[in-house]
Amino acid sequence: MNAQPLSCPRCHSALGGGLPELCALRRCPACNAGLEVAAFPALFHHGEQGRAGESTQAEGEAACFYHPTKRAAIPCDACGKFLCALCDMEVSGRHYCPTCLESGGKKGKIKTLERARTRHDYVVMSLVLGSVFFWPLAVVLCPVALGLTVKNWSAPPSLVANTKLRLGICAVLAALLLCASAAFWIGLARSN
Amino acid sequence: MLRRDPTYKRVRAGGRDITGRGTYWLADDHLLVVREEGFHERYRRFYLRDIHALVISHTRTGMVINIVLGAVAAFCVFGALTSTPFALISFLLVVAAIAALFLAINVLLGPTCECVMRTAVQTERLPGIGRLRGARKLSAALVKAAGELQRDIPVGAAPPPLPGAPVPVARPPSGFAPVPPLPIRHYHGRAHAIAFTLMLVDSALVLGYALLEYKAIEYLNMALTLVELGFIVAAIVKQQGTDMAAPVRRVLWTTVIYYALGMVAAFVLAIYIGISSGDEVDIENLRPSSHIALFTLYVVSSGYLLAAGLIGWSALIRFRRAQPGATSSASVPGSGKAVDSAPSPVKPSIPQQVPPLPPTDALN
Repeated sequence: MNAQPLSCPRCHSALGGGLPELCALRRCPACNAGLEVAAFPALFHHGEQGRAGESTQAEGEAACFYHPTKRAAIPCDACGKFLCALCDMEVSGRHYCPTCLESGGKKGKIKTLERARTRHDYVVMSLVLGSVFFWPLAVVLCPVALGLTVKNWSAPPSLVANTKLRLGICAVLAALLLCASAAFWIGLARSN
Repeated sequence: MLRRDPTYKRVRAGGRDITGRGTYWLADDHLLVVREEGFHERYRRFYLRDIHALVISHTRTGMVINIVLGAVAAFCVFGALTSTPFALISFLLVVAAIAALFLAINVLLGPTCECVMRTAVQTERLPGIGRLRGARKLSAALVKAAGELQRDIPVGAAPPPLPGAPVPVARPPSGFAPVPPLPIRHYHGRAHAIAFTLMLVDSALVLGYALLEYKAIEYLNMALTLVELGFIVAAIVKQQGTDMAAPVRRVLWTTVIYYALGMVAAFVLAIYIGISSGDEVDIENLRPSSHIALFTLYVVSSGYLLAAGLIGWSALIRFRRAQPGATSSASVPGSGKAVDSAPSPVKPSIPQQVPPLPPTDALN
């Protein structure tokens, strides 16, 4: 059972009742705001306690790398260190030690632990748009946009958008704007 | 890209809000929330077995925006009808059209809400879900996916009811109880009836003005049109989330589109007449007889309003007759026959999936 009951997002007053009562709730009893609740059985489930590492029984028995007094249960799939049940971190069916999990998450090696990516296409798009609105600066902004396109072409792409297509379109636009801007400045210099 | 990844299925629930954009992707065992903030894309995974509840709280933001935009549009139309300089009339009509367009978009997007996901260790506000329609889509997808995964989780005893909360009659049955579908309210208002009546009266006034060209009828027609538009907007707002019949909704929406197009057509026509007629026609005092196209527009308007009013009333009467407890559909005593046998335009009510609770005395 949860320590805190389910609460109304508006007034934060607790919503009581079992699964059918919560699902049948249409208004918050406290603030009368319209409410729709999809509650799941996990809300009422008494969670199991986490496993404690078992103590080593005999001399020479394989022990955990991080807890020498605990019995090894499984090796780390990344570095091979022996881990007790407490240190074993299971992610998508693979077992990691805390160090590999942390470094894998930071470096993006463990895909399911990746939490953010930079949208390079948005960066380049902003530069191209900037060079349209502030066209005298296009001669500076467009080369930067082209440079960033080349640099980030192989960077991890967005999960929801076709980054390479957008980068390609932006690069073509940046090149055209650069040509137009260069022609303008050259023409201006010649006329003077 | 997730779109090409067969493990992920997009839930069309997210959208854009002030801080960014949120999209929702459902896998076999988790829900992936992708949030675009500035130049970054942030990911959040909610494992379906860990999800405790999804709480959708209705907000009044959409209604407030509707009122503000409606007031701006009405004020501009009123200003345009009472002004004389052509440039000012044009400006006010353009502003009114823009406000009406945004109003229509806002009404089409539906009521607003706030969506919160609850797990064992966190309560997260879901990004990009600002509309009830999207929130309900996500809720339906989660009920299906997470409900399936949590089927084997035994439901413990329910906590005692809190003060102020609705007191349950009986304890919930142990085991997984399917989550009931979200409800559809029954519509009780009179806004539709008033709007359709005003359309019929307006139709007569438009035709009367086209034929007689009395100034009094023109002013009466303008005032009535404003009131009619107000009732149409009110009816559209009130019918959201109700069981109002689809034909009635269609008539209202068609009328909104008709008014928007009619306003643009009248504006374009006035410019055309002004350019083509030169000094022959006084553009600031246009009358139906000034140009054959203008007269035709008035007659078409009258015809449309008559048709829309009649169709709307007919659909509304059918909707009311189909309601349970309506006098016309009740059995006539002694005859053994039902008076009304018209097919119901209302969607059938969704059966309650929660098993019936045992009687109170059975618990004692």
